[in-house]
Amino acid sequence: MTAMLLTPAATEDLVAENERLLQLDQMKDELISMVSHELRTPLTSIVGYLEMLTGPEAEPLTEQQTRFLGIISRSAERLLSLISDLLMMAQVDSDGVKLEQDQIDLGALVEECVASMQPIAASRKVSLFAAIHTVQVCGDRRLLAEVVDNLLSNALKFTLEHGSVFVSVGDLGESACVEVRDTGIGIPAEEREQLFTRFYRSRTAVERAVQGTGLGLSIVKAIVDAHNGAIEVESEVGRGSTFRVVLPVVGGK
Amino acid sequence: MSARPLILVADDDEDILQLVALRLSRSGYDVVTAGDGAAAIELAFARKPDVAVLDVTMPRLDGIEVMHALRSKEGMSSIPVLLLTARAQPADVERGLAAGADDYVTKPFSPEVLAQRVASLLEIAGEMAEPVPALRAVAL
Repeated sequence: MTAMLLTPAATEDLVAENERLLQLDQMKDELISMVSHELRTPLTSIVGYLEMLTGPEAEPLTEQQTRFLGIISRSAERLLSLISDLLMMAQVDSDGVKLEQDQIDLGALVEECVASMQPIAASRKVSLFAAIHTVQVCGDRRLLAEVVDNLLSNALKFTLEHGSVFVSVGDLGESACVEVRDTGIGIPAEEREQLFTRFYRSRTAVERAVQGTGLGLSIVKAIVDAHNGAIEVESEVGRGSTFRVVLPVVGGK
Repeated sequence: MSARPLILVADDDEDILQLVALRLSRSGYDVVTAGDGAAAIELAFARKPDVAVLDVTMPRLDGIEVMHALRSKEGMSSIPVLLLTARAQPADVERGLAAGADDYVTKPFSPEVLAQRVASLLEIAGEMAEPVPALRAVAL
């Protein structure tokens, strides 16, 4: 290997460039903080006053008022989910994902995610099943829950009424595997490559007006990569899709 | 002291201030409100609330500075503080709790859940304030 000597001028340039990058990073953090604050504050009034209008102590509403308030409520939820996605994306951006290193029972974590999605599955008339094994992985609990939530949410979005979503957690020895399999509309082969690209939305998602930002799977991939894991997808149009996340286990090589 | 618990609410967003005040009043509490940190401290020193609900990002003094002012004032150091904030990153929550907050609620929040959190802070403070039996015997 050849050692490279920098001239004083080149060193000065590098220091200046480094300083500029640090400033950019700081600006990014400030932007995240500003977006978080400025968008969440008006949303607090929207969802808070909605609850006051529709809660148990509220005055009776007409059927039309209830319907309109339901629309406002769903729109507020979409906005909140968009803000969360943008913040998460900014967080996992350029300088990589900052991970907490917790020892996690992946099975228990997936079980909690599945339980919290059951009401959504029921409202879409989709059956959500799980087969869970206990397996320990090391990583960031909140971010791994974000991965599972995203995959479950996608599976439920793209599965038609009376279809099913099956989630499993397996111990493969040196790695752990989370699989989310659905009987949904499937993803054409030519679209699979781009699925993990930021803001990419599949043709079927656009045609069927399925709500989303195209950020979820890019966030999932960034988190899985940061855990030294891998994600893959198998799919058949009209039959369904399977997303498989493989993570190293605690004590594995 | 009034028989109803007194809650201090401070937020620079008038709509949120009124929302929290309205919901806590429905729970049967007396509520006093402040639109910035300095006003919150003044009101707290004058009225000695049972719980303080403080927005973190406020003009003049922020919620954490208000909390420090309460903590360092004799007779007010044990007032439970619930921080309310739009800063929802885990690091922000950790910073708030590390600074000594008793609870932390991120915006947007459910007013119902906030009222429940205030109720549990009052309950915990009530239990802490109860004299232990031995001391009570001495006092009698």
